Amino acid sequence: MVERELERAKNGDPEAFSGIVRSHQHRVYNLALRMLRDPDEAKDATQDIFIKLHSRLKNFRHSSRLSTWVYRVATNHLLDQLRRAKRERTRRINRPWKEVTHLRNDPRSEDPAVVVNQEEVRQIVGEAVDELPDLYRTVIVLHYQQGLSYREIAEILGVSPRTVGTRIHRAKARLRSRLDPVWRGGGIDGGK
Amino acid sequence: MGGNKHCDRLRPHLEAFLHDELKAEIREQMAEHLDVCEECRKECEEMRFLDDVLFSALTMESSPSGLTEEILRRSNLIRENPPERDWVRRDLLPGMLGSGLVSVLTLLLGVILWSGFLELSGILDPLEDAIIPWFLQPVAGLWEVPPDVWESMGAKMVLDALGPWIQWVASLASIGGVGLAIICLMVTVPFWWRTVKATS
Repeated sequence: MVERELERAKNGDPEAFSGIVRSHQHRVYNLALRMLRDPDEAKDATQDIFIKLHSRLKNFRHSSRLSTWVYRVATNHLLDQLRRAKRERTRRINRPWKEVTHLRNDPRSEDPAVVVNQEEVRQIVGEAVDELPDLYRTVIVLHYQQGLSYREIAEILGVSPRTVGTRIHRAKARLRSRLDPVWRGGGIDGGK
Repeated sequence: MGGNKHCDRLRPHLEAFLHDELKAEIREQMAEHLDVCEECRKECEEMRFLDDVLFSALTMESSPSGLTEEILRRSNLIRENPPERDWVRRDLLPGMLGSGLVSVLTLLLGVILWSGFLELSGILDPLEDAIIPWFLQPVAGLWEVPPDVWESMGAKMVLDALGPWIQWVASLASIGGVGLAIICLMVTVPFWWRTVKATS
C-alpha cells in the first residue's frame, strides 16, 4: 500500500504525495518545533522539508523505510538550519533557564508541600531539553517525543546504535544535573 | 550489593536496559544484578523517573492548521513551474574560470621554465612542443630559463654529480611543472564540487 503510494508519488501523482505529507507532517512539525524552539520557524522549516522531499522523491532508492528517509532529510535540514543560525549568531542560544532559576530562588520551592503542576513540569523539562547541544537534543527528541528506537535513530543519523545510546546517556546526565535542584527542592517528586 | 566489578561492567548498559535495547544475555545479567545491588537499582530508578518525565514532557503538539495545504500548494506550484536549473552556478563561475585559467597558465609556465633544465640534462621534454600551443611558441623563449642560466646556478654540477640517477631526476624535473598545475587543478575541485552539489 505504502509502496504503491510511494511509486505513484515518485511518478508525480499529487494525490499520492499529499498522502505522504498528511501522514508525516505532524511528526516533522513537532520535531522542528522542538529543535528550533519557535512555532513560526518550525512551520516554515516543515514546509521547506517537504518541498525538499518532494524534489528528491525520485532519488529515494528504498534502501530504507520511507519514514526513516523523511526523518533523515528533516533532521539534516534542521541541523543545517541550526548551524547556519549559529554562524550568523542570530539565535538566542544560552537563553537563561528562567523557570528553573525562578523556582530555585522561590522560597516556596524549599517547601516540600509545593507541588509544581504538570504544565510547569513540562515547561521546565522542555526548557532543559532546549538547552542541550543540538546533537544531544536531536536524539532525545527522536527517542522520547517521536518514539524511535536506537536502531531507527542510528539509521537516520548515520551512526551506530551504540553511539545513539551514548548520546542519550550523556544528554540525560546533563538533564539530571539541570533538573536535580528542582526536584530536590521539592518541586517534583523524584521518588527520592 | 552485587560487587563493584559487576557494577562497573553493567552500569554503562543501564540506559539501554531501560529502553529495552539490550541483548537477551546482558539483559538477563542486568536483571539479576539489579535484584541484588541496591546502588544500581537506585540509579536505575532515577533514570526511569527521568525517562517518565521526558516521555510525559516531550509530547506532540498539534500542528498549525492549514500546514498540509500550504505544503501541497507550494509543491504544486513548483511542479507546475519547475525552476530553471543551471548546469553551472553563476555565482561560482568567476572562481571556477579563474582557477581553471591559473591551472592552465601554471602548466604552461612550468613546462617552459623546466625546458631549459631538461635541455641541459640532455632530455628535452618531448611533450614540450605538444603542450605549448603554437601561438605561444614564439614567446615561450622569453620566459624560458635558458640552459646556460641553469648551468650558472650550478645545475650542471648537480646533474654530473647525480650520474646514473640523472635520467630519474630529469624525469622528476619534468613532473615539477605538471605537479604545480595539478595542485592548481585541485584547488578548483571544491568549486566544481559545490556546483555539482548545488545543481543536483
